[in-house]
Amino acid sequence: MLMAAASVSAQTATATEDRGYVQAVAESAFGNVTSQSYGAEAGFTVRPDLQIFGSFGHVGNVATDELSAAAQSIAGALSQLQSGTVSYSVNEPATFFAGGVRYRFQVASVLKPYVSGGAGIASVSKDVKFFINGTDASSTIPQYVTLGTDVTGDESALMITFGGGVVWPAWRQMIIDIHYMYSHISADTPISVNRAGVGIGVRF
Amino acid sequence: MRKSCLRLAAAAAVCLVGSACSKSSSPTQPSTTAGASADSGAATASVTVPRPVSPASGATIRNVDQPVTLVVANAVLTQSAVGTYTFEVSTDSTFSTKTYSKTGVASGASGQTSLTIDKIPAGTSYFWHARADGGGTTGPFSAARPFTIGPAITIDTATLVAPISNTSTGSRPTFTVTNATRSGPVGPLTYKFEVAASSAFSPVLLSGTANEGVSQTSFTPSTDLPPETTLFWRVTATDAANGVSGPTSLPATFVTTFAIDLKKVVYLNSPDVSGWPQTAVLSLVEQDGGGDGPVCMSYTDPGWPDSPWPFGGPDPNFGVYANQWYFARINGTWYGGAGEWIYRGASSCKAGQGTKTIGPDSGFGPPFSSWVPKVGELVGFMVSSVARNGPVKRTVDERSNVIVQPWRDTSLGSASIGRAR
Repeated sequence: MLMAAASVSAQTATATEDRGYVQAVAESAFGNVTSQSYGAEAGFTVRPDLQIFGSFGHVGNVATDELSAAAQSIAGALSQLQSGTVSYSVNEPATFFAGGVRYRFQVASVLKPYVSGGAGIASVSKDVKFFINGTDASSTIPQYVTLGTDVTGDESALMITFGGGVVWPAWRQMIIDIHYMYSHISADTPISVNRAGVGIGVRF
Repeated sequence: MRKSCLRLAAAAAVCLVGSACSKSSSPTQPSTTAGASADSGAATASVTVPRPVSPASGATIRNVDQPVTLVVANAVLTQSAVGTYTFEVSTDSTFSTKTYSKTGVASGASGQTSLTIDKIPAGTSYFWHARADGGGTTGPFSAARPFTIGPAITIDTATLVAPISNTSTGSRPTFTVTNATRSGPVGPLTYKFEVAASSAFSPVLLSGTANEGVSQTSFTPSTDLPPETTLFWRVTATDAANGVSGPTSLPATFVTTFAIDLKKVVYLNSPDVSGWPQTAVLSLVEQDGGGDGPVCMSYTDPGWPDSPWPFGGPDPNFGVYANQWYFARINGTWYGGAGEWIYRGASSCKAGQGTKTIGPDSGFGPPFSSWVPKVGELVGFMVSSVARNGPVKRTVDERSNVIVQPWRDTSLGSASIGRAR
């Protein structure tokens, strides 16, 4: 039965008569820190081997070394300026929207490999918190430090992304997309994000 | 259909790029400085407050120690930014009115930045604080730290009273000044007396300090000044507690009279007294070699103890406490010896010290025994605790200064006004 299903799928893929796809994506994001990412993507076939796509997603944390180092430096100074025990947390979620093209290799296999690239906008939000004796010190630290935009604020910046994957037409119109994507966000402090995950969707 | 999709994709890409690259900072903290705004393309640094180091909170600084130097431990700036500092001084903790302010002070090495401020009014309490600025961010001011500049104190020049104008003095003259006038909450004054052989006071021959007296202050040196020398002296009044000194006076001059070097004296029937401490002050010698040969010596009595008189007499408790001394230069050598005994209750005048009797009188031995002083010949006089060799035992071995003056004899033509001098 599996063989039969694969045969049907292969015939369908080879025909490249799909007009596009829609899929939900779940990924593991890794770089300076590891977090989770999720989103959705839709694509339209413009040529048998070429699709244009649009996607949006959210990465839980893309904090850079620089952000962590700045927070650590500030925490160290706070320890010198007051007697409480200082701790801190660093988080930098990113939400993005991107569009691009996907080139599908024309192969006879049931697994259809592709490469893709695109550009978009990523909105990153620096979320650094300091705690004195375990209590959020947001209201008290202004007497000790003026935080710069290196550790505060939201920023929208150009994001370019490229990567590749394989699409497996799992069952009827259902597809499974296993992929890896590299993204570069041109923020004040440039951010690199690697995402590897799976998408589940339908083609039409 | 496919062409439509391509157009749609191209339009979407243009919109994406065109709308990218915006930012907003947290509303809670940062203040960005001009020229490094959040839109300039680089993140601004975070800047901590600098930690005040000196002066300490509540410190009182003597006015004389101005100008004050403010010191902070450097602030921490992220992004390897280099900070500059602003220092402010005010009489109120809110710094509504600034007594002193300076910005752009370069960050110091070794973790601290300091600024020496201008002199500020004395006798006033102040607050100071500082902040750092760098990487596009102005940090917060440190907490206001109080300090006080002590009151202004002025001390005028003390007036030299004596000796002045080439007055002749002994080898240890008493220097006297009228106390310096002063203003402000002055502490106890001390007066530094300096003596030198030149008006430049380099080198200083002798220096001493005396606490202020009631209206005048005096100082008597404990060592001999060089004889027959014109010397200069001056004085400086000082409030040590507040670190304030008045101007040094202009110098005055005096001339020391001839003095005998006691270390070179040949002592006759008496001990070498050159090392005896000088505890009495001989101020006047009245002498006449004529008549019964009186020699009267006025001196401060330091309370030298009696030495029992071993030669008998009506009073078994009788004792003597001092000797008169005479010094004569014979054939180029100074000789000296203890002469008449002095006992309490009696006059300090002793008779029998005439021109022809002073030599043989006290058993000095030669050459004193045949010494006959000439009128005008310089003779030295001194008093000491019991000193003459013999059965009367010595006590504390102390002495006075030596006065050298010309020998007088009214029978040989010396003036008769007064008995001597």
